[in-house]
Amino acid sequence: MLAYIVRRLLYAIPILIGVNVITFALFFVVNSPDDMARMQLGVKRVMPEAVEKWKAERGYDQPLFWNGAAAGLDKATETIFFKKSVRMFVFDFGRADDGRDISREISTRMGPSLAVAVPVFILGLFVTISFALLLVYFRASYLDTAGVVLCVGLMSISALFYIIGGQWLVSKVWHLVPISGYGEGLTVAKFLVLPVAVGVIGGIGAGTRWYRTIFLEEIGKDYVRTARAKGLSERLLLFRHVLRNALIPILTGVVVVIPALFTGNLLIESFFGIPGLGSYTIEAINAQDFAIVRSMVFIGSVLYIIGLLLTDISYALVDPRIRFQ
Amino acid sequence: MSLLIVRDLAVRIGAIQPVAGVSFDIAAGETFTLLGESGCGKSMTALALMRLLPPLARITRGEVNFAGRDLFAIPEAGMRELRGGGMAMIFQEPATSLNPVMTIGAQIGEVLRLHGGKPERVIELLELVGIPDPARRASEYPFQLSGGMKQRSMIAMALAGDPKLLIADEPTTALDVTIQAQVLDLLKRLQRERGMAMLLITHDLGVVARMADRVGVMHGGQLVEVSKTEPFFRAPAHEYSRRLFAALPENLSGGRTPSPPNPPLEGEGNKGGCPLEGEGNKGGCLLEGEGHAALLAVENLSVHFPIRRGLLQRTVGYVRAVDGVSLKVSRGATLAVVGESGCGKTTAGKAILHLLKPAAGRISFGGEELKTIAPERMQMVFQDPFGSLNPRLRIGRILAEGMRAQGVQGDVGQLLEQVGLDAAMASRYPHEFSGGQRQRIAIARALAVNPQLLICDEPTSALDVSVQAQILKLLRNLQQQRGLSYLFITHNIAVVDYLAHEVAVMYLGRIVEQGTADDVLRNPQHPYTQALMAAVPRLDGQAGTPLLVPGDPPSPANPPTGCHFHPRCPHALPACKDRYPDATPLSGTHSVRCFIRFQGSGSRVQ
Amino acid sequence: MKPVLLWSDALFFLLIALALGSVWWGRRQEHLRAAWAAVWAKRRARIAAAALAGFFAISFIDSLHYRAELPREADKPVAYSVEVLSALDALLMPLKLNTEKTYSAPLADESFAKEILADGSSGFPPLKHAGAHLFGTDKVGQDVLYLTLKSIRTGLLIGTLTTLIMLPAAILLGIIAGYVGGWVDDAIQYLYTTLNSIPGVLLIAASVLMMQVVIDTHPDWFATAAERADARLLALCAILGVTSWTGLCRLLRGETLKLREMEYVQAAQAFGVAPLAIMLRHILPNVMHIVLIALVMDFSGLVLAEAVLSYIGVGVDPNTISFGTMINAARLELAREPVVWWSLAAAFTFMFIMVLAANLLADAVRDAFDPRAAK
Repeated sequence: MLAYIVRRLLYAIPILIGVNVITFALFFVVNSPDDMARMQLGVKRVMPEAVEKWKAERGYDQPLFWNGAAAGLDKATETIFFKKSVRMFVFDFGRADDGRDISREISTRMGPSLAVAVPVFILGLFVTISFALLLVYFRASYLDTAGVVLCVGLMSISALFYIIGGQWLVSKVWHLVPISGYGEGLTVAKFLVLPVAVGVIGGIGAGTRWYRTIFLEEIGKDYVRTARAKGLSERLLLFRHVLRNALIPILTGVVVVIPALFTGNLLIESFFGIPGLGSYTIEAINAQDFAIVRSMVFIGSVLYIIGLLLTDISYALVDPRIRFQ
Repeated sequence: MSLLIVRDLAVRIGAIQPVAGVSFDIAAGETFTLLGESGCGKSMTALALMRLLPPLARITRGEVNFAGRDLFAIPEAGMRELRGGGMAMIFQEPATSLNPVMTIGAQIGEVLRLHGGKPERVIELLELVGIPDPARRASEYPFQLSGGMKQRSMIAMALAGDPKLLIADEPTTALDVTIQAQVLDLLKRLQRERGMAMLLITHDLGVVARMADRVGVMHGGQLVEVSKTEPFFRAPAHEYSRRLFAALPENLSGGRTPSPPNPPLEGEGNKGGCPLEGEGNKGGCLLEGEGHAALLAVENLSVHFPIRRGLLQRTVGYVRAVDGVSLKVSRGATLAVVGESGCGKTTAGKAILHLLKPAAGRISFGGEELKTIAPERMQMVFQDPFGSLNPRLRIGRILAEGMRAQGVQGDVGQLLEQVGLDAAMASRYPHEFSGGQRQRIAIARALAVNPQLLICDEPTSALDVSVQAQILKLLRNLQQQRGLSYLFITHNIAVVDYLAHEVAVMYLGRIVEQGTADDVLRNPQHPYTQALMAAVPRLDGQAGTPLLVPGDPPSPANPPTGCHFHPRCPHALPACKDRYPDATPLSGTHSVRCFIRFQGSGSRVQ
Repeated sequence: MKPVLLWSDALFFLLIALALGSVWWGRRQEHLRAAWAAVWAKRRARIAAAALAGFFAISFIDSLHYRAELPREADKPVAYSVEVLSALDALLMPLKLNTEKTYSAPLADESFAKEILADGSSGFPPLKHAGAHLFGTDKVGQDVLYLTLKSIRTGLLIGTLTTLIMLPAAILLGIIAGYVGGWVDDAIQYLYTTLNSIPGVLLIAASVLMMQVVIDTHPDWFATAAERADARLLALCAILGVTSWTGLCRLLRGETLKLREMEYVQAAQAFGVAPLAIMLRHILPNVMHIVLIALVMDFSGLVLAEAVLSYIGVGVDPNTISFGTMINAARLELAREPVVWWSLAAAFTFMFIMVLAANLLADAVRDAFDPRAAK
């Protein structure tokens, strides 16, 4: 078991290196820093000096991989690759275009992101699984069919609609909560209600349908027939037998996103003005701040890989076949 | 009054009617068997009695009275009390019928709680069904148990509610022969001790002979014959019942196998044991005769699968699936390789074809060593008629594939006619054919490139008895017409008797006994062979006291020291623990790897 | 008039040709005929397919591009307008040209905004084309119905071309990884795990930003604005493809691993059939149902993704008419007093119909083709 976890950890290293190389190639090889400078400064008629100044300010005035002009070890370290990519492994992300320290920015913005993402995750899971269990309990009835049709309908609606529609109805027509913003202490609750509700509702359609399929697949298995032959009630059957077995496939999809909760929800944060990492990313994209985008790509990948690792571990906890291997 | 009375029961699924008006009674303490081939409606009947039919199936008419109550008038809630309490059920596939994430103890305890038993009885029940170390086993999960143990746990679970009627749906079909005998004996003992009635569903006449008080033969959703067991076996009344008997391999017309055109066992130089015997070659080869060079000679074949563990997934050991096997197949003859699942017989067959890479050994064909596949010499017929034909290709293309790959000219229509099919079937897809027809197509495909040897991997084990008989006959006719040789892999002794000239018995990767069919089947010398023979349910109903081997076959990843069979062997000597016995020739044709000598069947000499 | 064949047009026509070709080929395959018959047996699926066929027809007409001839001056060679139009524009010319000054409600006959009228009083001036705008007009007075119809092609192209672009790679790598195994399998698995671990939206955002730089620094590559917008659309498809092929590739690898052990594959091996032939004849036809299911299942997700990405600013070119750009332009309109609801309503409704139809058809297709979904 321990060897298994350590092995998964070791496997994460080449993947992180791969992610790093891909991002580096994307940001520095597809376009030269000169191109970026020219674009940031306005494409037409940029003075070469201005380009050089822009690059120097941001540390892009070094060679990509090999600095022949430097001495000793600096030949390898005084390069864009080392400064901008290798340093990421120690979570040193450098500065954004506005001069702020990205690492500090990230750590202060994690809180608001989690404040939205965690309730959306937990409530969403609870609502969708309960709804799916309900449909499965009444499987092959009209309620089930109607539920599935409703889910397909909900799935077909754009997330943007839930947000825009929710803001309009709840905030503008009913005046129940502020349209957007964020506060300190307990006042934050009134800002969070709507984004959380929108996040949960937006996920009901796809989630319910997915869990329903998993439950139905389990219900068709032989051991369920055995349990029925023992005289178990349908309720016990669902909760004691089916749910526990269904947890195994459910975990694959669920655990892997838990670490990613830190990076928040791009759309919701940006629409509701929540100062989290999601809106940070969107602002960076709009401002074309490559340093921030690069950092977020790296963090996102690290969190995903942690998620994969957690998935492996949670499998072992739920499935005795892996636990006793 | 009977415990269970079924009158005119009918079940419908969509347009089909799998059960079409069935009536029978079961008295308390009686064993009633429902006998029939697949699709005859026997399992549906059982599920209808439990009211556990699949979602689309409906009971369309009939009455069932259980212990004086009208079963179809009981509401679902009341039915739940009856299930597990009044009547309990055991299913065919123990591997999937237990909840994989709950311990055995918890699953049995659930029944006890539901039907008013004491939770402590879990251990007692496990002991009752013969599970060693029941306290530890109760806290284990199904995947930690062998197939036989799982089925024993299923039985314990069924007994937990003290049912008056036990329904067992093919309870031993998924098990190995020796385990099958153990489970049948267990069921019989429990039924007798508890005075329980039993409804046993099976396709196997041998199981009926061993277990039943009365038998009902089902065909096309109807009971065509109901009779006491003894008269049934003496003189089956219905035409269909008679056909079932006639289809048994031991009753097939032509009786024993005729000798191959060029009998391999005459000649000189085979008196002094095997000339190949020497360093590293103790496989017990027998059939070496001068002037009778075998068509296929396998020497010391080994196939190992690596076991990887630890941080870097280093190979820490090997599963010796096939461990130094030597055999020979003569021209025009059949060698049967007999063994239970996991003994390595299929792996050996695939390695001989070079579908798997052997770790060691020499395979020669017609005196010439083979290093890669030799499609024009050897072909294979696979076990599963549904998995062996690509569902996306027409039969014509399936048959032509091998010919094209090998540049052989041939006529697809002729091939089909040769295996008893219609030439016009070439334009159809596999799903339009039954299992038996598919197996004929698979044989035709193998024959398309004119091989001299066919490796048949349990080609009839997935088929019903009557279809099996047709395929066996076809194989025998083809052998006579074309002078084909067969390497026939099977676990079915009756099939061996019908088809084989020579027999090799495999246990855990090694051949333990080898000889002519007469040698091995009439005078088995290895205790394992004896156990296999004894475990076969016999039709005369007088199997005597069958020699039971206890326990399950060990894992080939971790075989016992010394003779692999010694932990299960009723005659084991101290020496058996230390050393694997060498092959000892008993006659010019018969050899065995055992320290003990027997005379006759089972009586020990030394 | 000078016909213009944009890259996306060519790919779209190729896609239609492929679809027609597979229909022609599939009609002779019995198992496909049976499965499709099961799809068409459902009324829901028939309606969904009809709706999608309508969207396809509109997109097809909208993909026949041309540049109009400019009024000819004597003894000068023929000149063409720089504006690339499509047959749909030609059909909808009245809608396209009948613009107003600003917002107007659906079928309204006077303007939405108060103005100082000719007589000096303040009031709602009459529209130039009163009652002609079924869905009203947007901020700059463009007809919303026209915009919505033009959006269809963008959504449809993103939903289909993305999968078309990634399909060869996913099929090839998935089957090879599963069948060949060993280090090849390790390498392919490493590749898709790595790509998969970069969060999709961020990878798309980063790639689109980078692509934007490339396009901006090479204005000379594109003769017209339409070509530039088209390049960006295709690039977006390609980027979406890169981020979405991993799922299909993994599915195909898993299925191939199972099929590799099937006895008919071993039978072919026993005949000495070459690995490539086995992959083509025995593996590929038996995984095509997965490809088809992925194709129809991904479609709706991609259409929805386009709207979100365009909103974030990493979607299609801002000059390309799409559901995303429409929503992005109109997102503050609900906050106005009185509410301007028609642009959003039109965009969301059409997108909903398209995605719902795709989802319903996808369900029917999955039920018919996925052996596991058989009930």
